[in-house]
Amino acid sequence: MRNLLNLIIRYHFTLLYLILFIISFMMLLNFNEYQRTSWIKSSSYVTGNVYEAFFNVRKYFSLKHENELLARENRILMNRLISNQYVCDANFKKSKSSLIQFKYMDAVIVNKTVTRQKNFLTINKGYLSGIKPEMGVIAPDGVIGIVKDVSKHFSTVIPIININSHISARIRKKNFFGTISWDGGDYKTASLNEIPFHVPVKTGDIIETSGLSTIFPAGLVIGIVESVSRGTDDYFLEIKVRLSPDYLKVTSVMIIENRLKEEQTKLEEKSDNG
Amino acid sequence: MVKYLPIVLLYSVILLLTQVLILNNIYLWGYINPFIYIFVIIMLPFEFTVWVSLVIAFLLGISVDFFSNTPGLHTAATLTMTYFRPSVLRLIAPREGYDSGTKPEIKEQGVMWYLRYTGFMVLIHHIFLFYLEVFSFSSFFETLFRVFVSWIFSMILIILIQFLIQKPNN
Repeated sequence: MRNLLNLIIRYHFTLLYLILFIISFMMLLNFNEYQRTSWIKSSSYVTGNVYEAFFNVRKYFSLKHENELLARENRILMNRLISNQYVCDANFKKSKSSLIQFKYMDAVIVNKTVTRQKNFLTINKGYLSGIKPEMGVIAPDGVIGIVKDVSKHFSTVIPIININSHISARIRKKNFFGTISWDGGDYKTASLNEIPFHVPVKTGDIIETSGLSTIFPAGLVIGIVESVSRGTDDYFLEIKVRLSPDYLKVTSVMIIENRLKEEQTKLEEKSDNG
Repeated sequence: MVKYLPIVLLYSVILLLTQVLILNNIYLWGYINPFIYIFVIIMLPFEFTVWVSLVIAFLLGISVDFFSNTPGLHTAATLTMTYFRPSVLRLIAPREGYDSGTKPEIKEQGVMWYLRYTGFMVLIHHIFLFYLEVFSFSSFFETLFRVFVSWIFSMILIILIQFLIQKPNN
């Protein structure tokens, strides 16, 4: 305390100067428009940079949450796509619920294998969320597979990279249809079968869903043609397809519900039996 | 010290009125705005303690500010100049120090000493005044030029006043 007093006595004129200077400086800032706005500008320049640096660090911690938000937003946008709508002529009686044929639900892969012959994926939604067997599963960059079994909270998916998987496919813009299947090798490549010799397939052609099944809408990307060769078979080409989704990295998927599936299969069964 | 206060007050009033009524309306070539009211601080006898000088500077500066619609601007500059006055005096002190009872005047300290003393004081005041007025260093050299030109004219006027009020040698 005594030291403090000594200090004050020793520097009393400096203190007085500082006090008076601060008073005049406050006056300068408070009563002069120009200085006030300059002060605010330069102080916000400093604080702005500090805030930005802090924000750059904080951004990383919210990435998980951001991903969830983006997945949800993707689902909403996918549901609005015009290609989901049941294509019909103008005479079709329009009612909103029947118009939307394909509906998307987002889910997260909680377990997966990619190195076996019969690979499976497990997703975190089950029949409580409306998932049923035989629904299509896609990732943001391409088709993943088809739902096989469903429990209360989980579902298993047979991906393209399962030797039992067969998905109807076509070559984009060239209306030739085939089947995508996997021979149990590299998880990055599958083969496109049943494409006859005369079809002009080139490396780089895009393979997409055909729309001939009741599972996927037409036009979803499956992969890109990697190589074309005359195989041992007499009629069909041997086409290797590089799959678009990277099964090692994929975590966020969408499940596609076809709302007209039942109607279509029932009708087809009836014709079959008759 | 107390016996000097009336004359300080008298000079303050005269110089203040001269400053705000006449000199504040002068902008030679758009740059030059001489300031003479600081002569009140420059002429304070050595025996004035710093805190008294600071109070005088504050009152003087705030009066000028009220007349020229720039609250705080002249006050801050004059306060700073006054605060550094002891340092300036120490810096240019003659070898044997200042004789007690003397005043910072040409007659007693010599022309060279007076030029240096006034030069430093006016420079400190003008630098603070002009840079606080533009409130940024973005046009640094333009402001420096204004400081320099105004400094010359303020110096000329202050030295003229010094000669005017000087009592003739008996």
